[in-house]
Amino acid sequence: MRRSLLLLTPLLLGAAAAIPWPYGAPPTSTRLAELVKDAVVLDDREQYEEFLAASEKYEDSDNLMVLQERVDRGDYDKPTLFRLGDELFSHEFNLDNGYGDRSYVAPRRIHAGVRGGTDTFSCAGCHSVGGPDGAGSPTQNAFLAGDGDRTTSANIRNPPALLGLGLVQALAAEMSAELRGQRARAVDRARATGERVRVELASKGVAFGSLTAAADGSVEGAVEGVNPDLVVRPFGWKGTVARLRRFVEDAARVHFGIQSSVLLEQNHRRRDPAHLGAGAQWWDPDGDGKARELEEGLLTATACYLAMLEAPVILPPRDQGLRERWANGSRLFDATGCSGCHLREMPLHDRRWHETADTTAGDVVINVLEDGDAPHGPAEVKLFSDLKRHEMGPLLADGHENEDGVPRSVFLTRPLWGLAESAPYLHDGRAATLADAIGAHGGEAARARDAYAALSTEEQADVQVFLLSLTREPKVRFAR
Amino acid sequence: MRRWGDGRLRSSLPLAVGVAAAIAGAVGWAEATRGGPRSTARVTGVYSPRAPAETRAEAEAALEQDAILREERFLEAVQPGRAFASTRVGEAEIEAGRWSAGELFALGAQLFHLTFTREVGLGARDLPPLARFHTGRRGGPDAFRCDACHWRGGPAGAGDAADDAYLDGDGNAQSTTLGRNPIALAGAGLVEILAAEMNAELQASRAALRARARWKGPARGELRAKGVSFGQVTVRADGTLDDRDLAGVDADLVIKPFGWKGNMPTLRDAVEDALLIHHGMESVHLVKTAPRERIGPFGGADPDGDGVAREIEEGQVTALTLFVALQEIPQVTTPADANMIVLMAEGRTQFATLGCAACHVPSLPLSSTVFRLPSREGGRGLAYDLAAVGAEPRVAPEAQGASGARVYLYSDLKRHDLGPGLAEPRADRGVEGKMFLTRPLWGVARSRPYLHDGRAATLEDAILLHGGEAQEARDAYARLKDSERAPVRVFLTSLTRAKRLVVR
Repeated sequence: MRRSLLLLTPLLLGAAAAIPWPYGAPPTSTRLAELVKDAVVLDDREQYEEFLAASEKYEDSDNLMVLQERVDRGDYDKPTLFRLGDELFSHEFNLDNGYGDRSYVAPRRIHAGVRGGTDTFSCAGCHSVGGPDGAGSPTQNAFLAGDGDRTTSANIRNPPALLGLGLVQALAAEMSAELRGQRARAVDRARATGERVRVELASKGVAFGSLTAAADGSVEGAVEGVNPDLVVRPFGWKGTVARLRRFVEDAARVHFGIQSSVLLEQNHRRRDPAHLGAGAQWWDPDGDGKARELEEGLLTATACYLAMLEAPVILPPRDQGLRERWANGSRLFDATGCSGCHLREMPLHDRRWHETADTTAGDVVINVLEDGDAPHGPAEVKLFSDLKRHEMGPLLADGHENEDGVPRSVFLTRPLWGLAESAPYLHDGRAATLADAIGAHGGEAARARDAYAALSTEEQADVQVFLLSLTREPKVRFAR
Repeated sequence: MRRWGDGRLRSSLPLAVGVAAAIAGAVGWAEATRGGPRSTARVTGVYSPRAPAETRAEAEAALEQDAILREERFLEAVQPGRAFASTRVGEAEIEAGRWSAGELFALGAQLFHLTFTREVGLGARDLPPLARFHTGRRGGPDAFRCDACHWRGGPAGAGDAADDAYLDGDGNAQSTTLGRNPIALAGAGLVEILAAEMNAELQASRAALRARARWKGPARGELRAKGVSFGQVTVRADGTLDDRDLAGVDADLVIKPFGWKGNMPTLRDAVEDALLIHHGMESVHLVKTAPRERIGPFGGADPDGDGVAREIEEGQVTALTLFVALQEIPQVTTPADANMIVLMAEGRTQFATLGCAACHVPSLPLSSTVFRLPSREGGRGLAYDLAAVGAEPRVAPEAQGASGARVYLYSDLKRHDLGPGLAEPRADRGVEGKMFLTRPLWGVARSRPYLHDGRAATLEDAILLHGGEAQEARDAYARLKDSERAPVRVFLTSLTRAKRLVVR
């Protein structure tokens, strides 16, 4: 039956009634006051910091000298860690901070090997789309592990939005624990019984292949979509990083040439010129005269900040006719098989996340459903991903191998939550539209793509209407 | 071409019209529009230049626009091309006065914030779908939206270093390109008026010299505009110009105030070029007039060969140009802290005593605040008084009832040699590698990072990287102790934009 696009008559009765407020009504005055207050407080602080930095030569020393020992001592409460992470996120790193490894040259957009760029000065520089902590435009793409000059030498990565990552990190850790538990139990039983034990690996409804444990404790098998170590790594387009602090550390290193104190200590134990540079001193491998460019405490603060950011939300259209199309699109999202990998939701069992330090016994405990920015979203996390890697076919394949060993055409199922605010799409930002993004799927997704392609034009539009409801909470801020 | 909707989609149009009518009332500036047929273009209300006096009202207005934008986004999925079609305004109806300045600003804003798709003409047959580094004068395409690279500091803002455009390369290697950091567009209309008035002065001086040369023989004289010296020229008896001692402007005596090198004379040129090189969206004007090196080899009505003709109508160029020209004027933000205010004031003085103000001339007088967009289709053209229409805040007339204003631009709109450190290995559209237009510093604190390729993270770095004609001022700054430098940095940090609440 053809659905008609019905109209709500009140929409035609003047301005106030015509506004399609996402929640059906304008924000209450309490809510508005709250939003304005948040914006004003943030703006006042940023403006104060801006003038202070100008008068004190951009040292921002209080904000950058966050020692892990002080975090461990409890000097910073969670709101303070959030603020420090927030400030780091927008901080423009400069020579005095240890930016780069030489005097200033024009930003180098194509990374030189795994050392990186430098290609920008702040995290915020490449996460500008859709609001703060957002996604990146195609101009903000990172060009990884190239020859320092040619686009064709690099693997291209579009900056993803950073919302809800605390939930993703916690979900992945639970999955890793569950998968590793399954393996451990299989090994125990094989040892105990002296027989080969085969186990199907699965967590949160996602199958990760199987393995067989032998009586001697060795395992073999066909693990799917995750490394043989069974650690689910939810970050990075290829699913290569398990913890936010590692991601922050790597991003600071490759984009700004800012080297964390943790990396330096690793460099002390074993020199790593490929990633850090061949400087004579282990504490300054990039040879710019600055050591401890990023204190471990700041890694902790920034990881906590990211883990405490708001989660995306689902806001369907207001028009009744569009609502019907949205509902149909939602149904078709399942019927075509999209939700086979873009799994609608996953249950989070433990809301506590332990942000453990690298070099101390420190541990900050975050409640990922309560701490930090609202909205947090339910424990049934509406992520639209299975956090598993899949073969995506030749059309999407990277131009080059990568040091993590993930095959060129294999990618982690990109979580679709917040999608409407993260255009353009796909790992290299090539898709201006949802239609382009869906059409470029291949490999394991070929069947779902074909099922989508077989839909009528209207039905395809319905699926897109549904996808565009995956968005973020409307909030106001002062532009900066 | 795609089918634009079916019967049920058409039934959604009353909704759009209802919303648009409500919004247009709020957006339009107090200028009567004439009756007569309009195209299908419509103001969707996703952007408004209003600056409500009260923060709560501003927040509600921003959220209201966000709500409409969200619904429009759904409608775009159902009716692809809808957002683009909403900007498809005819030049004739604009020139006939059927659209108010506010409406045209809003249409331009819609164009600035929408996503170009292949269906409406994005890209070219013989270029990759997306390229970080440009291929010659053809461009990328490197982005799908204008606001992808103009976001920092507010709407139509600046771009990050990562957003740099890489012009005129081989399409693959950064080393073959010229890096350009996207600039903020606030105040752009006033810059064009300033340049036009300066051009008139320069050309009048040349005319006077010519007149003298005709009966007295070779005439030599200084060319000045708004107090800025552009060197000396000699007009020979035959009327030709000896421009060896001309400085900072081309021999045609036309100041080109747009682009880091000062190579685009008007906003319309800049807008049209940006649509072309960043998105492969070709205006009908360029298709008619530009060489194939710029627009592509396929000829006819579709020189980029992507199957879409008339990608950008003249009316769309006009709307987008007006969106840029009618941008707000940058503001000074005074710090809250009293000591900081003292530093700011000291810094303003030091800025002059160190010699920065020699090129970054703090203010220039403007005789008229009227922005003119001449018709390219034989019509009457458009004119808007930027003191009366445009995004808020606007330029304030110098005196009640007077037509002029003083504009705090911090530039002389002249090209200078900035030394070997900043020089590029080759010329850009005829402008030598070492020559750059004095970058206006108004709003500078909302446009980080700094310099033409965004290489300077901080204002301090930017100052210290100056050379050439700026070497002396730079050295004077460098000789100061840090505590003495601080006031200059605080002063520059006060050059910002009006606060604006946004959702995205």
